[in-house]
Amino acid sequence: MDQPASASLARLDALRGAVEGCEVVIVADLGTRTVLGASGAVRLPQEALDALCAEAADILQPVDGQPRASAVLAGPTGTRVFLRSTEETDLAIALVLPPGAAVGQAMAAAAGYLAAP
Amino acid sequence: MTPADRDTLRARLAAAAADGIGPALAIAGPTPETRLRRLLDRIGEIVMPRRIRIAGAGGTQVDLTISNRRIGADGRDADRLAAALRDLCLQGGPLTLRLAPLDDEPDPAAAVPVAALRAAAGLTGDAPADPAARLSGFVEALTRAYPDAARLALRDGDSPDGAPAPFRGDGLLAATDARGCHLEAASGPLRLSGTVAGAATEADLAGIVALWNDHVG
Repeated sequence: MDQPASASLARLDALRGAVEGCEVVIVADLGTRTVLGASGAVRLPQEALDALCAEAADILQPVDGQPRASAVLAGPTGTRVFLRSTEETDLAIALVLPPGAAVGQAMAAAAGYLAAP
Repeated sequence: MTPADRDTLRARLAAAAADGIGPALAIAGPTPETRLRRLLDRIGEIVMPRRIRIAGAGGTQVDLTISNRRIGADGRDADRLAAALRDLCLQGGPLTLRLAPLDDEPDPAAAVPVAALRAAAGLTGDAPADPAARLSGFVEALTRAYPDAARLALRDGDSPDGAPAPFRGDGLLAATDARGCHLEAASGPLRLSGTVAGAATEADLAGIVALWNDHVG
């Protein structure tokens, strides 16, 4: 499968760089639970990226027929932000941030990424 | 730590110095906080330069160096290091600590004092607010922010009808759909679930997470 332009490494690197403290960002295909692209401050093993992708698919899956648009999982070891594309609804961004991170900037940057052609 | 424990630790340190990586020291406790406190008590007694490997019950491990009660943390500050150690403690079951000699003295300027780590982990000074108080503070703040929209329920974590939270230990899962923001949270033995009707935007979600960080996170 061709990698969509939205998963290009340079754009993902730019997104990660634009979000303070962002450790990892992935573009996920929620339907196939596939990591389409990833950028990390450190090189993570594929299974770690796959686990983040699966978490995105689980958390954003529809509940009572209502698709979830965005989600945040916040805990003492980190903050994970998930945002579904409004255009391609199987496409989502997941970002890994430090504990206690302010997520507004991350959500805005991810929304900008997904909205760009 | 009792005098007998201290002697045992010294003997094991001596063995590690003579033979390389030492035997696994088990650090157990009934709660993650107890395990973290006992872990820091142990490593706070290490004066000679040592490599240490700390493994959680789930298999994750952290490698550090320590000398004269200062921890070389590879650039991590006290908060990040405390978070990493707390993660190990949240895996349940005992931690294991292995020690080995260290040839080079870690750079003291780049190391985190154990005392700073204790402070970052919330183990010194005033006792942190109890989990119920923190979670209640979050609920009150959320109800003030969304006075007519928040429908929240607190329950005991052992309640049989409570859905398990998708995280270990304390945490918040907040997710939006067209109806609003749905919450599942845990703080200590308490669980929270509910919905804030109409809070469906990314700004709402960011604001709710900020309230969580202020009161619980």
